[in-house]
Amino acid sequence: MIEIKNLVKRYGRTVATEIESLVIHPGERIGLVGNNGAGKTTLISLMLDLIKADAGEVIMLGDNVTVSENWKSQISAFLDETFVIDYLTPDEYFKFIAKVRNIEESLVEERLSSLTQFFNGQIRDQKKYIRDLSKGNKKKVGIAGALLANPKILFLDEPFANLDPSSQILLQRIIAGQPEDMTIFVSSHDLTHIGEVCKRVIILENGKIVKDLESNANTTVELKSYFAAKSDLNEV
Amino acid sequence: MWKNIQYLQWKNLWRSQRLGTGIAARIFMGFFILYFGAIFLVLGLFFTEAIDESDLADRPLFALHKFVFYYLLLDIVLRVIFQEVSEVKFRQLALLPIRKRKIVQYILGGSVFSLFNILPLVFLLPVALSTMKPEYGLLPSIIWLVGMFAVLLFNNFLALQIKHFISGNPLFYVVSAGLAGLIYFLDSLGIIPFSTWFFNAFIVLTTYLWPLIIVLALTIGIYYLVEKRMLNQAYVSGSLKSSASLFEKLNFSGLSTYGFFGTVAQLNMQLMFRNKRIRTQVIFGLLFLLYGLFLYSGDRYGPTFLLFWGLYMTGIIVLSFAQYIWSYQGSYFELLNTLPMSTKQYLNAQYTFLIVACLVTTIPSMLYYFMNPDIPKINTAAFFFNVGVNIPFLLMAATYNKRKLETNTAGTFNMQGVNGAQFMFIFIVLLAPVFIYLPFSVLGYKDLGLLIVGGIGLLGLLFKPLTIRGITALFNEKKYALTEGYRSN
Repeated sequence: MIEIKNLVKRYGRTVATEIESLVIHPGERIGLVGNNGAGKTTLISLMLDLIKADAGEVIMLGDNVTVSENWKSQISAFLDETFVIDYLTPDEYFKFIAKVRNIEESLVEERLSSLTQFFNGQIRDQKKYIRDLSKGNKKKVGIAGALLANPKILFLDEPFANLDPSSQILLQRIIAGQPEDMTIFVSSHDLTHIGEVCKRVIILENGKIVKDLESNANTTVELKSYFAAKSDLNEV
Repeated sequence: MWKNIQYLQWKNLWRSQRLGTGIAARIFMGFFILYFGAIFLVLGLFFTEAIDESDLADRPLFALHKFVFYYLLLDIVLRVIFQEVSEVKFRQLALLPIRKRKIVQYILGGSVFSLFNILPLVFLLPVALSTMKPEYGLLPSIIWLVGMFAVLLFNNFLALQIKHFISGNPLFYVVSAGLAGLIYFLDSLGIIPFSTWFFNAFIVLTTYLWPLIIVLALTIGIYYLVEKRMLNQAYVSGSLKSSASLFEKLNFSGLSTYGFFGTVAQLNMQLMFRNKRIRTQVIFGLLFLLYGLFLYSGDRYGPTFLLFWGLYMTGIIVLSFAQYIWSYQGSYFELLNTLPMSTKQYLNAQYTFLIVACLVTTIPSMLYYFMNPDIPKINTAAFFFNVGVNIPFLLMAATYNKRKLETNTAGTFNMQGVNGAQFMFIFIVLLAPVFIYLPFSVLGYKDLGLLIVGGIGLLGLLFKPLTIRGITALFNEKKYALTEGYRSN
């Protein structure tokens, strides 16, 4: 489904990403964890052809991402606020996404109504522009916009940050409730959420994959002890 | 306390993003101010000579007051449209231990130093010396000047008050412009002689003091009204934008029936009308269409200049939009790049949109036929050149604009993110066809020259698929740099 080969990205001397090989299979739920500056966003951006790699390639659904644009109809992503159009109302934004993606109106309604609880009455039928919404609500709009596409591969960067506790739990359920064949890529600082949602956890450090583990009941504890140990090391 | 506030204001002025970081932007602003300053100064110094040929030549004082009266009419309309008072400033200061009244006074005091008040002084001061003083002596001229400045300040605060009540509703812009137009119309036809009243009032000022007191009282009165109103809503929530204006409420959903082009066009229209900066630019540009009323009267300008002006008129929207097509959308650039639409398809839609935008200003510009029968010919050639050559050229230039433009910050003279290259592109676009045309017009083959300029444009239009392909290739090469640029600022 996604294949990464010898991918390298440097900013000056700093290595932002250096991945020899990574293969992602259909339906996998992948959690990307790491401290600030570990290269999570860079890796996702490379996969989405938003950043140009210095070497190596990303093959998405059979195409090199830098060559073909076909994969774009099969994926959707929400990385940050640069994925919402701030002078539209949420409803107009959803409509725009639906039009560009050729999604039927009835399907749009169906998919959005499944998020009613998540929206908590503050997103739809509002006369506010997205730029006037709170950070958390902006995020909800962006996530909903990405879910609207019902893609084969979904990328979410830090989706839990800025959400209130109830919304975080709801979002966990929403992600878990997506069709089984959907591949989902979630990056997060929050180890608990990753442990809940993802079956495969990749730990990044200085742009490299340092651990790639199958998640089980103990994953969260394991992750926590890993990062705790790291910070102890740094103190010495 | 005043010192601290002034310190803030000083820093705010010099570090303001609106001034622009590029030297070119500053130079442009400098030229703009110098140009109008010089015009006002010369007009002030040589007012009597300037009106030598008009029918009011024998009554220079009356002519002066008539001119000032009309200027004040225009002034209030322009102020209502363009003058802004930052209410964000209030939020910065609200929680500091400064009395609210002081903050409001500081904000209102700051508004006195706007160009709207300073530029007219460049005219009023010399004109008081050159025209008023010989007639009435020094002291009455000074009193006259004080009275005039008081009227300017009256306009200043009146505009703030009007602006508050209409809260950005463009219908009221039209209404206030219409009202000013009506007063002008009634006056110039002599139905209600407003300017004569104005003249009489200010002439009385030179002998008696009481009219000055009335003018000052009115100015102070309106100031207190504004101050009181601002004090009443001096809460952070009160100064936050509450409701969208009428313009912003338009959603242009009619466009959505035109397939992919419609979707792009609808988003463009929303981008234009819901973001203060772009909206102001477009409205300002459209107002400039009326400048033709002045330009085309009489035979002041040669055909080369008329072509230059024609290029500007037919391309107003293209000039202020095409080369910023990515930087205006910088805040959601990554979304555009991950949506399933090909660059080529997207650029095609934008091209079509820009052609329609050209038509929107070209068609009304044809009405100048009634002032100069050559205009339709000239503007048609200009239209084709804009559509065939300038649009693709500026779309290409757009891929070099790596700075995101703050779209919803203050509109007037906002230079944030603008640099020298962009002015250069505009000059190339407006001057290249003029240089092509120049030899033909000098040798007397004016029509042939127009035919060639228009023909080049038509050729460009025929090769549209080719140019689109070129821009697509360029975009695909530059998009990473653009993403990085928009992300970092």
